[in-house]
Amino acid sequence: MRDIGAPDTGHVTPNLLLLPRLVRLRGVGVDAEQSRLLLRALAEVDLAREDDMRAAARAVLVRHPADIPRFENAFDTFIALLRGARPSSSNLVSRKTSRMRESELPALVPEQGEGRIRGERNVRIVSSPLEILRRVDFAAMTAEERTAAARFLATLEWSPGFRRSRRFDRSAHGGSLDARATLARSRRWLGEPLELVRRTPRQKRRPLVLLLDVSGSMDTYTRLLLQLAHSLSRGWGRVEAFTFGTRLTRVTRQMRHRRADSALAHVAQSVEDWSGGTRIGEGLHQFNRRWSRRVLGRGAVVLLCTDGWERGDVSVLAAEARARQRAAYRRVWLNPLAGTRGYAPEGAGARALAAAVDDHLPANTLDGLAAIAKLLAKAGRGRPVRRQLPT
Amino acid sequence: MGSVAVSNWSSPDDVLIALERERYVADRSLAVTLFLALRLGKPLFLEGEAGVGKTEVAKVLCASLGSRLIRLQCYEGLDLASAVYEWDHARQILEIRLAEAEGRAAAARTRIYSEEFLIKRPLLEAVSSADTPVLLIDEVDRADEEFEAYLLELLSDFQVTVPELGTFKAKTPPPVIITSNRTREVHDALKRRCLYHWIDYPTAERELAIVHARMPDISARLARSVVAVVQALRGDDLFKRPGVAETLDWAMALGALGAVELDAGAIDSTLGVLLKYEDDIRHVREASLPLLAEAASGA
Repeated sequence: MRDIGAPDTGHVTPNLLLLPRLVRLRGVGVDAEQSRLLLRALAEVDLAREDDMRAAARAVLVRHPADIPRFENAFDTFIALLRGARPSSSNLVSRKTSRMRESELPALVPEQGEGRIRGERNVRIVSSPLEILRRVDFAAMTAEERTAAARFLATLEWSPGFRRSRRFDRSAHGGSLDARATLARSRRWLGEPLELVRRTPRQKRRPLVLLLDVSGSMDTYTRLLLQLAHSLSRGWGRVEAFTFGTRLTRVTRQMRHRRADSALAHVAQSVEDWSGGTRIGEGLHQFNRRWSRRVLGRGAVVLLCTDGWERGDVSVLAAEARARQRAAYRRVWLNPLAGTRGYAPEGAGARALAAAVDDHLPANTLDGLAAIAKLLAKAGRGRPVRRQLPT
Repeated sequence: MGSVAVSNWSSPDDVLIALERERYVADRSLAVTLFLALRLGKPLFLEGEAGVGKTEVAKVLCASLGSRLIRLQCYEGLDLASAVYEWDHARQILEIRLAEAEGRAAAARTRIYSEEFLIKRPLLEAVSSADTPVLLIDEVDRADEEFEAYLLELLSDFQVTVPELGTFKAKTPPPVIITSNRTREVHDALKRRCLYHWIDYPTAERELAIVHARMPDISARLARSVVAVVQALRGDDLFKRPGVAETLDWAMALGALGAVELDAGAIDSTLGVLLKYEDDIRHVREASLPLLAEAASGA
């Protein structure tokens, strides 16, 4: 055990409020109430014992397991400063300034190299009326058109439907008899059950889980899909978002930023595998292992956005796509390639995915996305019969 | 905190000793957090994988404080009638009928709303009890947001209002332990009212101490092997890693089978005690059984 040593404890008290500041600088939210509580907590423990001090501060300042490493780092710095280390810029630098500016966003959309353009639109119009735009492949859009497309996306009404919750609402007619409430009501009538109270299950929003492929082959679609994810998060609320290329990253918290630009900038900062290879199987594996239990409950609807180009082991992809297939209420595969003429899921990876999802839909045009929005609204009630695949 | 037993604990060391007396081997940071929760009168929010001993903390705390445990198991749709209070409607109606027959119906009007006809559920029980019980709100992640919102109110004031009767308020706020398995994120507003502690899987050393504390009769060699295998399994790529509860179950199972030492055969035949998913069992059988046997014999 490392001790601060008795002579140093005198330094601790006047410098205590440095600790919440250090923690905050590492991106962990600390409010004033926590700072106050920290003082009370530290008054209760022996300040000569570093491990006790650490545990006490952790109990007050940390609220998510993911914040623990950042807290530990801040606490180490705090202790080092107490021991007389000079504050270095790396210790104290604000996250704000180290944040990536939007101009440094990785090139989500490559500038219009002619070879990249899919579809038959070779004549370029600066911006098109929305009606035409709605049928244009995202890959063939100009930057202005993409902006217009993003604005259109924000207007779509996305709702992955409702499910019956286990809570009940009173209902005037229909539903089943609420025996407990009927009995309670009959107290008014000297114990005669004159009024029958009925109840129906309350409807609840289904959680939505987004899995976005951000690998190189998806480049032209990534930004729009992220924008879509953002407007979904803003509108629906109960949305979990993940990106994957070669590894899985959870971006739910980044998506909560109000402005799409800043949300995307935060996503860009935390995702490390932009435009790299695709190992869909590995991404799904990590999702199944680490997150499925936490986010797939309560009748979730899963949107998997990928082109199905697997560069890793296809047998892994097939196994992971099948694993936990019944954990979600409905699994929808949004495939930008599916909208191109004559496409059929013929790659081994695409075949495996197509077999394991409930719906396989084109997602390369705004019309496609609008159709998906419509489907989702109905997805909450009834789903296609599933073939149970051997796991 | 007002309870006599609690004020006897003057430092985290006392908590450690008290927990050990109840055969719970805690790490120091848990002891510090528990100590603070009692001293500052804050609820303790415990998170961790299944089977790491979250619920056990509350039970052991109760035993060492010598107080009563009031447990509320959460589930989706948990409502006030099952969590807080409910009027005993059937008895109220009987009382009305009886009063009517005896010609004292007017008196019954107020009488049926007395405490006699109130069924106290765990939360009201914890607030209105004369002694200071320990309140365990178990697996709060299984409850829905509506219930969480109600908890916020309860945890800040420790009072419950029954409109027909009045307000119950705890004389001293009872120690509260809330556990979560993280099947969903619990709202920050709830965590804000609590001290937070993440219980991790124990180190090999501490797990060995736990096995010995809980099963004093186990041979030292078997205990070492069991812990070595479980620790190795946790490093493996599994959907559900075995918790401490599984370790203890497994040691118990091996004891029941009369196993003296662990070889690949013994591990294979009892794997179902440790792993609860077919995929995991198959993965271990195919890939890691020899390695586990090696870990067991090397321990």
